[in-house]
Amino acid sequence: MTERASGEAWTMSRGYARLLALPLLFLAVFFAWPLLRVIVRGFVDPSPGLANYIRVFGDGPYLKVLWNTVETAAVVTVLCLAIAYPVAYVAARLRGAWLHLAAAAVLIPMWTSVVIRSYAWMVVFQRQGVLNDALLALGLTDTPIRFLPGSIAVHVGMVHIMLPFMILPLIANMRAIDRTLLSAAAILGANPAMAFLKVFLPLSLPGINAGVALVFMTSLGFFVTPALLGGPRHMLAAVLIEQQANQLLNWGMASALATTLLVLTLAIYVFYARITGGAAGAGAGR
Amino acid sequence: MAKHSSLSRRTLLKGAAVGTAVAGFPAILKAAPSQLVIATGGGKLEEAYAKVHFAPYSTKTGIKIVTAPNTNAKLKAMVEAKNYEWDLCQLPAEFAAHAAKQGLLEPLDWGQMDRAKMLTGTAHEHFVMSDVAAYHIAWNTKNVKSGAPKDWAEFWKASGRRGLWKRPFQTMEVALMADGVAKDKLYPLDVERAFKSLDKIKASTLFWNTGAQSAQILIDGEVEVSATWNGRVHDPKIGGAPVDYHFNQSLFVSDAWAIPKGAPNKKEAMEFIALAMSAPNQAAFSTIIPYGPTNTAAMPLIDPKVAPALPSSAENYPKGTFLDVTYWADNGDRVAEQFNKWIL
Repeated sequence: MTERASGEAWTMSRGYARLLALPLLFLAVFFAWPLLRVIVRGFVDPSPGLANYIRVFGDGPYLKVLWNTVETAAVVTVLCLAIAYPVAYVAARLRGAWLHLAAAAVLIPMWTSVVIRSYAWMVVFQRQGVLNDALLALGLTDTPIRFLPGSIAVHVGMVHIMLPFMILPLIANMRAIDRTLLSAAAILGANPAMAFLKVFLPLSLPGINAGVALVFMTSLGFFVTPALLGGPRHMLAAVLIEQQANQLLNWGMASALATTLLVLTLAIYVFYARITGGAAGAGAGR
Repeated sequence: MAKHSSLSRRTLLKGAAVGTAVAGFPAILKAAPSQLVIATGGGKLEEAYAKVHFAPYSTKTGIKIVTAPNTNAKLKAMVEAKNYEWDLCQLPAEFAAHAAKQGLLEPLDWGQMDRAKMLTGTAHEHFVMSDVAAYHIAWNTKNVKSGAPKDWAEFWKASGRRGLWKRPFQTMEVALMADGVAKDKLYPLDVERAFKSLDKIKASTLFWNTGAQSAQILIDGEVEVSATWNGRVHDPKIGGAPVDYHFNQSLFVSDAWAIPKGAPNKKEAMEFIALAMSAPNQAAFSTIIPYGPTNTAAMPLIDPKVAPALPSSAENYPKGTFLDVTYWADNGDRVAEQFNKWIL
């Protein structure tokens, strides 16, 4: 406001900056301030000092659970990417009604609650469930296989929930890729595989980065699905944080765990951004 | 479209008029609030409360009851911020004990309730236990056709898979009983002994997370036997699901009524609790939900046909033992950490 008064010229970027002021204020009040309070709480509750962090990094279950969390999120992210990439590749070429149909197929599962979908996977994977019945009927196994609780069930359940978050950024990115570039590559002598590897894949990297960041970070905070489908080994950080915050009313400890997870997430993000040339995240494309 | 909007406007005006009228009253009479907000766990429990407690209370006092979900952490947030959304709450008793220890609850007015009639251990300064549920042995009747475990020691030896709660709370007690600790000698818990007992069955146990899950794995036959709460298998058994249970060596747990520290409508909240704890209300509740009364004066009012399903009936109560909420309020954090480490 004072800028105007001092007679400084209006520029496009300054105008955008002002448009941003309101959302930034909103984020400051409803995101940054509470987050700061959580971080501070980890150091002062129940008494000032590092006691909570000594517990987190000590002999308890906490580091192991944090590691489990990162590992599970990483596996889910890789699986999501492997499944989503071909789907998005095909979907991005669709036009008109077919595109709508593909989008609906991706989006509709998102409207069902995560809890219900996780219970549904329980029904599929249990001892007398759909999958075991099928395996038994086909003669592939004599006795029911124990899927529950287990890694397969957790990964399938989580991938199912996270897939749209990988597919959608990929489609958005791939639709913007000029496919005549592939023809150009072919004219210059590239076979289809080479054209894909040298032209399409690099151009789709921003989409991959956005999807990977979205899926990985959301997976770090998963609660219901690993709790229902996973065994003790799949206890994730969110479960411990909920226990501390909601069952034991130990908000200092809950804050310390949440802050550790946040720092870990940011560290991984920064590392990922470095190795992929700073293109990680949806907003970092330019 | 026009019809809809005019309708909603009329409803809105009517609502505003009622609101003004109701809000006007206390100012004139300096009396009760127009509504009382009660936090509950929702579901069937809340439906029963609505029928048995809310309706008579509103009729008697003219105060409307509104409910909210009873998220534990919210209680602490409200009291810390002195910004109250609830006037009173229904909480798991062990959590109420924990909250009381942290100074989050108002002391109750025991002058309005008959403390002498309460089951031993259910009347506390800051909360009152409201019903008796049982954490007990249950089995799938298709998987276990005969020889269902009679006690926790047999439950530990049962062939196949068993289910236990993925929380130390209640599971530790059961592990000690399985190892031969008498039900009246559980506290203070011998944590090391409980873990040794749990070690024996860790590989063949499915640790479930929620009550609904425990019922589902039993009914679907994912496990042979499982610990669960009687309220989870009572209806399915009657409905013909392949599940059965008994109360032998069961661990009694409870919900509790409590008032957040500093909540503004304490007088009305206390009157509500007194009504809910009265013998007729307790009896009516237990007729709908198979959780027994904690007020012993309610037992004679209960239909003899209903009594066998209730953990605190004369027949069932001696078979089990009450969980010590004070132990868990004092040691929950430490034992939970050990348990989480053990289970990984």
